[in-house]
Amino acid sequence: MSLIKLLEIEKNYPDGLGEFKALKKVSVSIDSGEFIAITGPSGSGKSTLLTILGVLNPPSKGQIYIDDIDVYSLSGDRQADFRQTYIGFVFQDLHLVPYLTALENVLLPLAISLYPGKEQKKMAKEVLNRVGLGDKYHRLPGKLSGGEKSRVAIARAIVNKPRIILADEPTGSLDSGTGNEIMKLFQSLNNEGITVILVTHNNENKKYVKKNFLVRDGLIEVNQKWV
Amino acid sequence: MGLTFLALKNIFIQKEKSLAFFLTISISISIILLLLFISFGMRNNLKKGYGEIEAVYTLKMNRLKLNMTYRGVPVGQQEVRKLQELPFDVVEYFKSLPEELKLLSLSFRNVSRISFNGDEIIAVGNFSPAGIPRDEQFFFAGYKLKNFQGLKGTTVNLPGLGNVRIENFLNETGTEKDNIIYYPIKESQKFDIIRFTSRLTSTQDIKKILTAKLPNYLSLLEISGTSKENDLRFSFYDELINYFAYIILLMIIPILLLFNVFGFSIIRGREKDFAILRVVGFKKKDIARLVFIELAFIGITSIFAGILFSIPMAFLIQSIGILPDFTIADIEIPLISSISFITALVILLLSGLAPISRASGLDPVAAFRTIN
Ligand SMILES: Nc1ncnc2c1ncn2[C@@H]1O[C@H](COP(=O)(O)OP(=O)(O)OP(=O)(O)O)[C@@H](O)[C@H]1O
Ligand SMILES: [Mg+2]
Repeated sequence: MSLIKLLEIEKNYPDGLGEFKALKKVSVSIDSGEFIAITGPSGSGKSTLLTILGVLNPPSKGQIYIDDIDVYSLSGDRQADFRQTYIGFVFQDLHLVPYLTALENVLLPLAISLYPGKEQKKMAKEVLNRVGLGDKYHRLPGKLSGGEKSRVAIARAIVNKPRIILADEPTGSLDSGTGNEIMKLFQSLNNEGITVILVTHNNENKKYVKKNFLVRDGLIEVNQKWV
Repeated sequence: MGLTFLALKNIFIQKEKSLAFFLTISISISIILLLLFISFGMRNNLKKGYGEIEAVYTLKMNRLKLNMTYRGVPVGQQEVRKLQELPFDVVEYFKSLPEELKLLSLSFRNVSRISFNGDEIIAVGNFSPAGIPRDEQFFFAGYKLKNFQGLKGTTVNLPGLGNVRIENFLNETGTEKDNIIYYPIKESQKFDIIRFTSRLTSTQDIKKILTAKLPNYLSLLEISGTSKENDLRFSFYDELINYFAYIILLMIIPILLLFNVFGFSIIRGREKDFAILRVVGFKKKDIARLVFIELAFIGITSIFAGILFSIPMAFLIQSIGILPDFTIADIEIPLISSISFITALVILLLSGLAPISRASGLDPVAAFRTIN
């Protein structure tokens, strides 16, 4: 059974007096446990698709069901709850809070949870260990390398044990060696059963993913292999 | 980690902004408060210094009946019956009052009115002055004006009477008296108060004297002092208070603006941070709560510091002696401080609404797009 179902999703952005069609009637299904790369030329709508999947960006038309829940019909608060429990987001720019330490950045999603402080710290340290930053809890992002920052962002994305990880060009700013390490990290998370969907331009990443969505001109082409 | 930790961290990270917020608000608050302290502290001294200026005190008499005579003659059958129940001789009592409790006038609900001028008590009320037929009975109010001749021909607002043109007033014998005017009052304008002028500084002082004089009946009297009476309208003191009130009102507006500006300044440039929080599952109200805690923390500490700072400043002003009429002892510091605290808090909350809703209403996707 598919975990995510997009039914005729359209997204229009206001563009001057008219509208710009960023996504045009996109329908795809994504099964639980998939590892998908979204590729396509710049401006084709990849990030738009990702934010729609991430319950951050309501589509102009169509429905998206995640775990059979029509997510955009939920109230704003329930959407936030949904994000918190289902989705981990990793951005190209990582968006770490610069004045919070690695540990505190990872604690952010837990700040509104009901876990007691001790439990929160335990969870955050666990995921930091998991991404290989067991010795850098108290470093500020400015004192971390690009790859380490990516790991913090990934740790923050997985601290709530989400079922889906969405990543927008997570290796875009990394050298190929570090990029490969990060991809391996995503792969191992995928092996644990997390559905991983990432936008990437990098051809090197093709060896890790199982499926490729090629976005072109607001339309999606689903390929079993990278094209 | 909770929201409070995050809020405090944000405050300390934005050191410069937070400090500017804190200092500006606390200094403004302490200036306002100092002005308040000074105006209250100078009040009584001013009163002492200007002999003309007298406070008006009001004694409420609860179900008190007055044994009233008019130059030895009982005034009105009905009233006499009622008035006879009064447990003490009011005329004697007021005659015996010390100089500082100079009685201006007395009046009783639905009965009559007694005025006191110097050592003579004049009853005015439910009876006719000379020249008016006895069956056309009037109620009269007596007012002692400081500058009766000077005010002649002008219109003055008198408590209980409203605007009254000062001319051709009759006293009880049908002639003008130096500084007392009598004016017929409407049946609906009932009095149940005793008013008197006093140069004593506080209701406590008056209470003390009355307790000595009227030990058995004090429970029947309710004493309230006031400086806001129309009688004081023209006094210098009133002008001064108005002047301070004016300054303070003027300063509330910049404070409101300051709160607002600082409220926006502490969320400025943090669009991306708020967007991150939204992405990881914060609800709009969680963001609102976060910003609220930050604003409340800086706001409350700065208001508090402003108040705390103004108190030693007031002592300093007193000890330097730059304001000769100013003494701390006359100030009700806790009262003024707590009222100011609450007022400032309300202003803070009101002016925080806009920045809070701005921060919580941000669209995370748009925030990421515009920042990068
Ligand atoms: N909030 C927005 N308002 C207006 N137009 C937008 C908005 N977001 C995206 N667009 C437009 O929609 C189109 C798709 O944008 P999107 O960010 O999804 O592209 P992308 O495939 O991720 O591109 P890139 O590879 O450069 O990141 C672009 O033309 C973009 O300018
Ligand atoms: Mg993009």
